[in-house]
Amino acid sequence: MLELQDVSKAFPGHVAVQNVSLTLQQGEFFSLVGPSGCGKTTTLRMVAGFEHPTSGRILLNGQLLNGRKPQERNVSTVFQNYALFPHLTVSENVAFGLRRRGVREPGPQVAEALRAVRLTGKEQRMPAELSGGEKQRVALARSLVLKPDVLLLDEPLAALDPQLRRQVRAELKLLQREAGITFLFVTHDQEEALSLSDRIGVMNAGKLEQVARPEEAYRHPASRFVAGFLGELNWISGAAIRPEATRISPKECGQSVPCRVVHTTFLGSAIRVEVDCGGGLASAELAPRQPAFAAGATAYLYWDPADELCLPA
Amino acid sequence: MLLFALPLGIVIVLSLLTRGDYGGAEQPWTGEAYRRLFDPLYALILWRSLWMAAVATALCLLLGFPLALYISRARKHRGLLLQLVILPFWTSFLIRTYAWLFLLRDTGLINTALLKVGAIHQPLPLLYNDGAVLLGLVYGYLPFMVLPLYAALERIDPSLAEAAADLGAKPLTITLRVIAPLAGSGILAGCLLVFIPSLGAYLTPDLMGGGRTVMVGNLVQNQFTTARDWPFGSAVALALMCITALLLLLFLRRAPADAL
Repeated sequence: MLELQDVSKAFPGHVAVQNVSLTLQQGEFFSLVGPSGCGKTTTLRMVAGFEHPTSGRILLNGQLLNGRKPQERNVSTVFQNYALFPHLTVSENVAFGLRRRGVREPGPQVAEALRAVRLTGKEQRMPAELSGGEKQRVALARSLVLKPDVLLLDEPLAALDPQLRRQVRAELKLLQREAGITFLFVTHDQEEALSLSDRIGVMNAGKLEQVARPEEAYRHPASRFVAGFLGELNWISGAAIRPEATRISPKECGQSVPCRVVHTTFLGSAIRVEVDCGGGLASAELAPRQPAFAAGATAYLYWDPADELCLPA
Repeated sequence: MLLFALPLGIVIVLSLLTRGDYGGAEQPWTGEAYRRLFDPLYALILWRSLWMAAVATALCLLLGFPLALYISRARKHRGLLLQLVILPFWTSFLIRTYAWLFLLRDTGLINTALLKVGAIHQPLPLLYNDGAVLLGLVYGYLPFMVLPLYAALERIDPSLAEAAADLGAKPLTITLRVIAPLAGSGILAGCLLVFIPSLGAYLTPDLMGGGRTVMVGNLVQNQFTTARDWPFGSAVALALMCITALLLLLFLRRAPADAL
């Protein structure tokens, strides 16, 4: 169990992390998500031991980590650029940590770790000879082979191309379940965080704004920032509604808001209609079978009041 | 090209002639100068020079590596620190060597100060020995070690050292197992840049060795001045050049392509 108690980190000139408190359960997949510069990476680096908190306490299984060097913490980091040792082979990279722990014959454990990330047969390759996805898997194997209490992942998918990213995402989740290791995952990609995590923590300007399960945070955001960061928002006559909960009809019906169609976009699984409701743009999603709206046509927006997001100002 | 080839050609021609009574060289052609190279006395001087240059290079690496590593990791003032490394070049090497003489001689600053506070009763022999020559060589050529090392170290991704620490490596292990192998090209370049001029140095052994510590550079100089044996001086200079070139070739063959 990893606990952050009122942790802050100040650098000369700015406060990167402010009073963050957080508890990760054993085996949990937890994502810290937020825009760049929100303090999520600094938080991760404090857990790893690369940065030291200005105030607050970090505990792992009840033991204080403050003041301990990175070498003295049973956590391991997967870096954004993977940080594989370029002069060592794949198997030597994976064996590096085992050797530092005094394992004389790391062979069997290395083979096991490489099998888990499906890299058997690439043991003697150099990192420069691997694809981005393979490098990422070596970095995972290098950390997982040490059986850390918490695996820290710093935007590990950001360097991959989008198609590969989706596939790796599924593999990562599977690997985490199988290994049963707590993952602390840092990302700026809200879709990644929502789809992977057991719980997410949304950070903004050094503060943790909300900690919740993904659906909970999406449906009941604790702040305007969280609502806007996790998904698109329509602001229609004072109410905040997600585009997918916003309905559009060519005819007036009950409590509806008139608007003018600006633009329609075919998304494959849906049709997105951008409208102007006199004062602001909004968008609604339609099933692809429904008749399209012509640009310039008048239409009416309506929604279930239960779908309105309740946002504190 | 001509500027390079012409003096070399003259030296080759000189080395094959007979010495003149008042310097210079005369007919007839002879290989006498080269035969004398194998005299045990001169072989010893050559061996001493190789040894001194090797020790000076090792000391430069030992001192220069931590310094270059420190500068490459410095969060601020990196440019200033590099400037400080280069700063001695702003003054003539001769003048800086004389400054060392003022510091180290029997009536120099260090001995005078130690005598005054009563730490010693007679001056320490700080000058005119192998140690003094090594000090002079290391002092003179340290920047040539630090600069290529810095260039190599600065290119190494800092997250590699973090990853090594994260995996449990202690600072010394990180330096030896991750940093040093990745700085290999810089280490090689620095060693060559220190070793080659150290091997041929004559000013430092002359002034700080006081003539007692004869290295190949002094031998060449003596042949052209006091001994007035130009052909032999030329032969020694050429031999030195060949040895340097040979060592360079040996090193470069084992080194990666990006070494220099």
